[in-house]
Amino acid sequence: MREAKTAVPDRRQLMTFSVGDASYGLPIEQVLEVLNDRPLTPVPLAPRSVAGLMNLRGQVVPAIDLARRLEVAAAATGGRKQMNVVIRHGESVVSLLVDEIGDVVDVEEADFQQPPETLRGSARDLIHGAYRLEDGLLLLLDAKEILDLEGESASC
Amino acid sequence: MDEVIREFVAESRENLQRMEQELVLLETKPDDAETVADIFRTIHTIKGTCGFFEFGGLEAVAHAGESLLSKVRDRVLVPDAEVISALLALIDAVRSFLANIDATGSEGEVDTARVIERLSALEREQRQTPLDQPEEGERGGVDVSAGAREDIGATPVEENADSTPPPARQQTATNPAPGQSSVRLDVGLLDTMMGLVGELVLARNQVVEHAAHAGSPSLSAVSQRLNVVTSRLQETVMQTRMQPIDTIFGALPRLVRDTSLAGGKRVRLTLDGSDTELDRTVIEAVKDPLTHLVRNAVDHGIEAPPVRHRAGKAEEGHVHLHASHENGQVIIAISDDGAGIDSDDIRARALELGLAEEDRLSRASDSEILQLAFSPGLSTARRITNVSGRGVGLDVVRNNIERIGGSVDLTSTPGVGTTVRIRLPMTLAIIQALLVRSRGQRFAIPQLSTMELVGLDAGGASRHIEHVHAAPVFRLRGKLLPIIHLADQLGLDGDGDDGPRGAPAQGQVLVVLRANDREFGLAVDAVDETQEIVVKPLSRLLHRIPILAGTTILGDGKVALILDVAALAQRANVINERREAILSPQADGVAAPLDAREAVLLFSSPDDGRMAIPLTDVAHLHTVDPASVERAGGLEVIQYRGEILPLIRVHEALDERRRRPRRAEEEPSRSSTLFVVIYATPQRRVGLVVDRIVDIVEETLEVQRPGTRDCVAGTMVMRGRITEILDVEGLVSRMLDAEDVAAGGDV
Repeated sequence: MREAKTAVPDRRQLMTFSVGDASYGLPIEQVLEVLNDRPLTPVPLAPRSVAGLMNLRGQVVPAIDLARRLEVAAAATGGRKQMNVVIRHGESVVSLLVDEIGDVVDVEEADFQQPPETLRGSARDLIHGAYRLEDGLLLLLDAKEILDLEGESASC
Repeated sequence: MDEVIREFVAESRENLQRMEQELVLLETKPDDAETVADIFRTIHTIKGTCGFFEFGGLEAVAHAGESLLSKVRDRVLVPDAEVISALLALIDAVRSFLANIDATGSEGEVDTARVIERLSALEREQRQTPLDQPEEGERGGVDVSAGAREDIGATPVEENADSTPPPARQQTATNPAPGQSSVRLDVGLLDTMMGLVGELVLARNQVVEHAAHAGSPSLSAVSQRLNVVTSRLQETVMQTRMQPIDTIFGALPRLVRDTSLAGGKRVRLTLDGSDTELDRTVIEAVKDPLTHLVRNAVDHGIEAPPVRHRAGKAEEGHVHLHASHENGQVIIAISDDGAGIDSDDIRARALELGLAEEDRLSRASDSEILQLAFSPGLSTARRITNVSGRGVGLDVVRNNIERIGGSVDLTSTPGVGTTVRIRLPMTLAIIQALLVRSRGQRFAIPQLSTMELVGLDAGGASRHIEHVHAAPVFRLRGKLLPIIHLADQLGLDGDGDDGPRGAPAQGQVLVVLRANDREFGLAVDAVDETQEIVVKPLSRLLHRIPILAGTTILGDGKVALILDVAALAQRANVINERREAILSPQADGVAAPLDAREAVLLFSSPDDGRMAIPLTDVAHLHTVDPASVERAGGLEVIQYRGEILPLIRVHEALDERRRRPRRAEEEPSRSSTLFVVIYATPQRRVGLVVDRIVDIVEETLEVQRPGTRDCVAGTMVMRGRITEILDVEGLVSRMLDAEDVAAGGDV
């Protein structure tokens, strides 16, 4: 039984990762690769959530601190290593800094629901919706919105 | 789009370019049968091909041109200025069609009615043939003044041609065969190749750096080999992107023709070094500035024929372009033998516009003054034509050239001519850059913009730092350079204030940069080295950040940001302009009464800046024990000759200075003796507390620059130092009246 209400396919694979105490996912086809902590060059005057630029095999790729972008607290503060989820959206290649990498999970459209009402801050605009999984909610991110930094003020 | 159509567009564009040049040539040599034949061939080919593709509009206009040309070829019609102009208009129409085809695949809408009408009107008109009545002397577009041209033309002649297809026609339908050894390549492919080579260069840099530290002879040898091969590959790929500057030069004969016609000039254009090659991106970028400069040379440089005649010059002016390679750069010189630019005119204009102080202007050399011609709003053209001379132009030219890392300068001798010299990098993809550090972060500065480096050590160079209106300036061989701090500009110290700061710290390095015809000092923490870097564009996410021009990957694999020198210069200018804007209205009122030689009292401010007040209003100099200062009605006062004298601490009263954090060593001035200048006018007396009395001098008070803050009438150089002239009345009334204290009275 399926209802035709959103453009979400009935089955899809999501790359999952965690930021703070929540799990997030992106369609696997948007994810180019997952990398360990990388040296970043900070960009002065950049929007707040831009953590810096990294050298990805000769390509200069900006890294977005997902915790800052979602306005949630990262799992731990301080010199903690973060993982890179490199994604492509349109012509932009961007790395998202996350706390931990999760599994690739299969989700079914039947489990999809609108974003929980309890979401706060800018997170509401950045999240498509949620999947109910056995061990909790998986929040589906909207790559386009995440890369739209127009409204963000500079970091200093 | 169809590959065949794409080919047609590309070929037609090339042919049109050649046709344009040939038409201008034809105007001077109307008998040149070969040129006529080639022009005819071009238009015939276009007509034939577009018939095939069913581009009806294009075919119609090409047909009209072909008919007219056939009469020229058959010597029924003299290719005079009118005919040439009509054919040039035809080229424009065809180009509009081609642009549409290129963009959409169909020919689109182009209004050709007037062009066709013009062509066929000329074709119908009957004219003298050159064979019957050669009149070379009066003919020939670029050579003939507009006035003379009006008279040529409408002489009727017997109709003797019937548009029979000439023999040339059959053999001409094909294009000149392209060389067997060359191929047409998609530009996108070249760009991709360039990108890949760029990455290879980066990898090479990293390997070489690695190998240097590894201490393995075999690795060293391999890396050496890699180094050489990569460099050669890079050169080769860059060569494929090179285009001769002829792609721009080619359009100039027509430009000169049209411009000289419109201005009633006679101008001969010569081109030298057309085969000089440049990266196509540079060619694109320099096209407009160069066109503008040539137009300027014709329009403003070359005088009208009668004027030239009176000056004893040939009536025909000469514009010469010379392109050449020099030290890995390309130099383009645009010279004219026109009126030249009088540096005194520029001085006067610059003064009028307040671009610089009179003192500086009179001291500057003529060649320095000439560079001011590139300042916004400064046009010495005495008349405005429809072509150029509206006061915009040269500054835009300079901006565009500097944006791609080039530079431009101007030399001129009044009555003899003007030469503008453009210096361009051969390519934009890989540049020489100076690596600097600020707060531990590395930044790249394009080498072409850097003039010199000045170390700021404890004793020497830092002595040359002075403050003008609270902004630090560096005195370099008599010139004052505004200083900006990289760390401030980038907000690296954490607070976002982009206002002027204090002097650079010891041990910093001042990188003297030049952009927008202004030199300025950029204070950085350290300078590393010069390196060849591959420019990579800034991510779209970061496009809105000013000051950054791009990114690059350094030898150690780290990303570094490339600074945008023009944007930094603008920041430096903004600071200056803000200062100037605030006070210019005030200056008008104050400058005049000060203009006489008189005695002035010089005193210094805590940060060693100089201030002056006219001695006429100074009643007395007085030293005061700080203990005798009392407070009354919210003011500090002292008892002086039986009356109560309010005190104003000058350097605290002037707002900018107050914002500066007070340093410990300034405190003694409070605890030891106070220097008080008793200022007296018939209305009131006040005591001005100053840091230190320097001298009393005789000076002609001529404000060279309006003051930049409240209570400063202006600034001038006195005894070799920049000195602010205090507006005492303003200061007193602000300090005392504002606080509702009756001056000198019931305090």
